[in-house]
Amino acid sequence: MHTERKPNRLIHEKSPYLLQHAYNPVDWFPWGEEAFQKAQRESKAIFLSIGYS
Amino acid sequence: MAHESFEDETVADYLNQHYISIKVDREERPDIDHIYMMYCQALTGEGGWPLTVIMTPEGHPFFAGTYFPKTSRYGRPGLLDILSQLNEKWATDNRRLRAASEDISERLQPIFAAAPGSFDPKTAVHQAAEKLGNRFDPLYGGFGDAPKFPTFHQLMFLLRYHRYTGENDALQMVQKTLTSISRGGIFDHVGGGLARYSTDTYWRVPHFEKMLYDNALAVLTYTEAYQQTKDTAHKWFVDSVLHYVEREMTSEGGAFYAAQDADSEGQEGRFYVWRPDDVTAALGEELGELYCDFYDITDEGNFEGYNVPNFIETDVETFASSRGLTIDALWAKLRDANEQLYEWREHRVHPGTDDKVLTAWNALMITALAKAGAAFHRSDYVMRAVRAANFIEKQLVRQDGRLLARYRDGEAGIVAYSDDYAYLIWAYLELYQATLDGFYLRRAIHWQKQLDEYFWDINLHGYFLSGHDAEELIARPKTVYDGATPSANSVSGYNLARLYAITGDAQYADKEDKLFAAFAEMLNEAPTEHLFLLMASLLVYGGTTEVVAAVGEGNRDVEDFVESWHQAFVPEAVILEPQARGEEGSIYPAEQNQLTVYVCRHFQCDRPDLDWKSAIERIIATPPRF
Repeated sequence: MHTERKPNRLIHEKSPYLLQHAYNPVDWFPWGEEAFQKAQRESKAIFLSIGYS
Repeated sequence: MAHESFEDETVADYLNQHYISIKVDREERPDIDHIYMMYCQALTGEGGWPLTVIMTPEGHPFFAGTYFPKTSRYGRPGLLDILSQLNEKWATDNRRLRAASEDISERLQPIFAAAPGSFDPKTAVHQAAEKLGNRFDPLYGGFGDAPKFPTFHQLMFLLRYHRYTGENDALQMVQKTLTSISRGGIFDHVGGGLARYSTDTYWRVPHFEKMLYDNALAVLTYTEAYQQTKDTAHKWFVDSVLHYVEREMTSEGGAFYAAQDADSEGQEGRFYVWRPDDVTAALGEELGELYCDFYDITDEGNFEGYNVPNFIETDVETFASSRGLTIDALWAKLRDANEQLYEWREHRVHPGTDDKVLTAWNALMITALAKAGAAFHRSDYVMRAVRAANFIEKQLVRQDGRLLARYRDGEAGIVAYSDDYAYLIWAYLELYQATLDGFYLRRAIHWQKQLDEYFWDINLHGYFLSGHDAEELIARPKTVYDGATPSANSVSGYNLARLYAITGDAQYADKEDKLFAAFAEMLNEAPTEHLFLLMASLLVYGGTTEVVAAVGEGNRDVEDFVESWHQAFVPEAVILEPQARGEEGSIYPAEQNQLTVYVCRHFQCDRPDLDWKSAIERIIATPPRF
């Protein structure tokens, strides 16, 4: 785990699986309004990844 | 994919620049997982995790798949290529891509709907049993080829099929499978607990991850099989799994954790495997040698140079006599050895424990503990079930009374799904059967009411996966077929049948009829995918036996009655006290202030009987026919 790196938004989640990805260089969003609004605003497609720990 | 791509700067840069990336834990959000997995299967013909979906900002997918390597290899497209191709399409052909994906969403809607029709229970039930028979592995038990999953609802169905038809083959399949699993490496002989599935056909080398729900369903099935066969190996297995759950999977507050990882120190199974040297170092030469011989531990190994303890090929009787030991004496040595190895193993780096508390999976373990507690007279098991149920009631219910799905780190969240409700109701009904304490029946009724209110489809019937108050997604699916766990609609079918038998309240029978009508075509066409709902159909179409136990003031015999009742496997019957019927209950008085039993078949009751022991014997001796 790259602890020197700044965590992404998953750091505020409770799921251990999501927390495992909190220090990824990918700027992950949790599922929610913030991500969908940003995608709409910037007209970007959404990359959704579903898994479990 | 996590390490290869999501920790890779090139992939990350590309995603961060051109996409909005969202990660979902499928165990927290089964609704999102279910919808997009259905799309993936419909679009590509396959599914699995990690699931990768690329979609519009409105959530309509235009690409789906499972694992991708970082760059293209062996003809498998790489993630970077996919991302850049789709991004180019998104940029240059945006309008058409959006329209096409909305169109796909629209056209796929029928797969989320019900399949109404007229259900033919007899044909479906017999066909299911026949199909299972065709896929059965007579050598090692289980169904089909590797990988082999335990899928305990198959065995629960076959136990009932045996009870209803007297077919001995059905019972043999159950016995062979349960015995093989309990001897195989899929079972952790050192620490107890069951891994998720076997990578081979022998149940030897597992995928080492341990899930709460598998262990709960294992306890349920082995308990039922014990009630039917009195095979003491089943009892030992149940005790061992429940000991593991207590030791490693129970929180301070009495709730249960979700899962334990397969890997530690970067290696799959590292924590669970042995070399002969480790064993003799831990146990000494003599016991170590005996242990290795018994549990298939050799220098060459049975798993990548290491060994997964198992005694699939060991004949226990021959082994014992060759060592001049009785079977009991042999087992005493082996149990002691396993406990020593457990202590030894404790010094290794442990695999991670996913310590989130899921209402659904906790409810399955409560159901299992209540059932095992009743069948084995273990009041401590029932107490553990009650403690976990209290945890849910205290920590996983929102202020307005709505059930929640997940608790972790002091915080509960996510409105519960229909499977959380269905399993919790099942748990309370099992607690009622284990204790005849009316409190648990009232909790079952309470949660059934909330399930009906938030999840029932008033137009096409059946229960939606998420409530009408939940976040609106691109579809509102219903789960019917049984995966690793039985579906919300199957378990609800089972609950409704028992709620009706216990309370006599016709609203449950009415819902039940509508539920079967809503999914009739699925049941007719694919009976083996819906075995748990077929279990419910045995109750609905085969008729229930209701045993009313009326007790005089201050009479304690009811405890003896409950204890005797759970000695046998009588899946067609429920027990109840007259109070469960409300005012109607007064037609079942206790005679001479003694425990009085009324045996009723589909609400037609025999004369009251003070000789309740014989009454139980008679019920056991006369199974329903189907």
